Amino acid sequence: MAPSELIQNTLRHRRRSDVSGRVFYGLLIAAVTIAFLLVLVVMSDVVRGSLDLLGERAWGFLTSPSSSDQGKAGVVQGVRGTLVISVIVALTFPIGIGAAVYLEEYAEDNWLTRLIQVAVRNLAGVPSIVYGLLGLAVFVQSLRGLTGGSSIIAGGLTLAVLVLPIVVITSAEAIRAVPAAYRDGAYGLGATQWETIRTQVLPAAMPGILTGTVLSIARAAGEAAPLLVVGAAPYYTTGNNDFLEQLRGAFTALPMNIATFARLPAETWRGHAAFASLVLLVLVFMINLVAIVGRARIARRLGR
Amino acid sequence: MHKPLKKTFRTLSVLLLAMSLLATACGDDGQDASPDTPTTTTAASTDNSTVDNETVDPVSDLEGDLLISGSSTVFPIVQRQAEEFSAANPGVAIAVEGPGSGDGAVKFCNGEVPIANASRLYKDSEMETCAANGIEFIEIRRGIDGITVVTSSANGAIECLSFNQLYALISEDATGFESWADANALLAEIGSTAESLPDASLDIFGPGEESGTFDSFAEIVMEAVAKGKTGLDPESREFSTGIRPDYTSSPDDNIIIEGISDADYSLGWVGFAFGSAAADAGSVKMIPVAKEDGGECVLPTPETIASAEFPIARYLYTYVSVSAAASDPAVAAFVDYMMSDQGLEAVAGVGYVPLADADQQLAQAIWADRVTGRTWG
Repeated sequence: MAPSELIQNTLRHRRRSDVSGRVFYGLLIAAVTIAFLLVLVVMSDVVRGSLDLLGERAWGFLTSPSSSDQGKAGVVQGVRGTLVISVIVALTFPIGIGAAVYLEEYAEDNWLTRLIQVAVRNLAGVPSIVYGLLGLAVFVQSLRGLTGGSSIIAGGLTLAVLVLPIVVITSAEAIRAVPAAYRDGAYGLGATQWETIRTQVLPAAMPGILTGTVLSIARAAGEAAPLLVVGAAPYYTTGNNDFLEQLRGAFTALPMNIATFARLPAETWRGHAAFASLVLLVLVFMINLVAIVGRARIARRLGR
Repeated sequence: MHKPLKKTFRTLSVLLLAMSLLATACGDDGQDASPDTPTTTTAASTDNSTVDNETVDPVSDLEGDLLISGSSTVFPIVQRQAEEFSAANPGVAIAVEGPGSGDGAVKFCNGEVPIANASRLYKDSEMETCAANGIEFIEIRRGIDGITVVTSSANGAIECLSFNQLYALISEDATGFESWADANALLAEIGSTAESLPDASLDIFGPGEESGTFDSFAEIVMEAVAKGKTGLDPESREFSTGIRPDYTSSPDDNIIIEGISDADYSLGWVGFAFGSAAADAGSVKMIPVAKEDGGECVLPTPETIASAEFPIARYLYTYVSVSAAASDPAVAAFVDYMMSDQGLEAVAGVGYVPLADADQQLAQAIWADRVTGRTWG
């Protein structure tokens, strides 16, 4: 018997006798199946609910504003609101990434830094409705002159604050995962700390940072509770206001559209809620896709 | 290593730019939609040219911002009216929200919104806040919302319920009753002569405490019983005016409807718009209600609610700020439309009950003459 055969036989024998290992393997498969089935059920439910509308007036639904008339109601204002909110959230990412760079690269490891780190971690677990109250007090009331009250700027900034801790945590993790050899190499060639961070640490951490930030945009796109508190309007028109005035005017977002449709009388409005959910799912999926593609491109460019 | 980072930032900024462009493009779509609407109205009216010319309003050049808050119950009516109004006045930016009557009152009395809706009259405390802030208001009654008592469509045992029976099933005194028959002893105890209820398990669904429908149901039914308006002696015992705490509550009427249709001997109460829509769809059955034991059992219909034959109904109101109506032409124009005969069609259009003619004319006169302060109730 050749040595390799011997090893394989032993392994096979071991595998057969490893009962707890196989039970654990079975449990893992079961967990994956359950998770997958749940996603499948949600997706099929949403798609089935929106079939009627999809056939009747899919494009009309995507391009109409909200209406009390089932034949005219649509989600264009919600799609627009969710996109603008995503942009506002994305514009605040430098703050989160900057905080992560400071915490990981500059801050000394003392009680203050640790306190800040613990606070950021706790903030990531605060229920979203609490951020809604914060947004109402700060962005709607105190900063009314800047945001124009219950506006999309106020809503976007509220959600930006909501995802900020997630951005800080994921970015910090990504920066921490950059091997110390990268930094040592740069320092060894005479680079300053900022040059090291800019040319070595950030590029290497970028795939991880990008994953975290885009996932947090997806999170912000799906939030309804804070927007409810900030004062999203279920119905509005824009009149003669230009784009900047609209930014400071009434707004809505896709999750608000879904909530409004779901609460209207008559069974036939359920289809509208289902279709709006489908639109939100597709939008979030597309945002995630951007993250995956972007990460793959950066990873390839870095040659890893 | 300079290059990858720069490229990354460039990719990111391009993405951001693309998203904002997309958002702007969508925004333009939203803007286009308002001028679009009159076009469709015109097209529709040319189709059936018999429609009189009044329905095609000339597009006005009125401009302004209009924020309307208040009751979520009244929201669908205002939304319908705002849609029709903005078709004729595309220059006015209107936002309608429905956080609730109380929240609307706070905003209205702080001068944050010129128009607020309510599914009840403003309380004394709310009127004091308004007075303290110098907000004078015009109080306009604008429609009726019946509260329907509903059961599962499979429940053939219950044909009618009197106020006293509702009291014996849903009041605080009925806490813990698990069968309809449990209420029989309480009925006898309070001196009601109502028919005895069947022995079937009792599953109750209704709106939660935060809801105006909860308040109104307790006020109309429980207080009527407690005050002796249903033929009982109010001095005979301690009547409660509250609702039992042990029932399934939800802020979402559609969830209440779902619960009622799923349990065979369910009992619950929801607004007429929801109850009648669900009854039409066959998922629940509306129970006729009699105010007194042995009295006439009335099924809620738009007619019986408007004539007050159906005993559980509440009025819907709109409060308009006097100074805003005088200084802001958009506010005046909107309320003008809201109180016009054409605008008032929205009340029935979204499932509520229009006022009886006399009340309707009174409401229109109150707005036309700008009568301020408490005018109803």
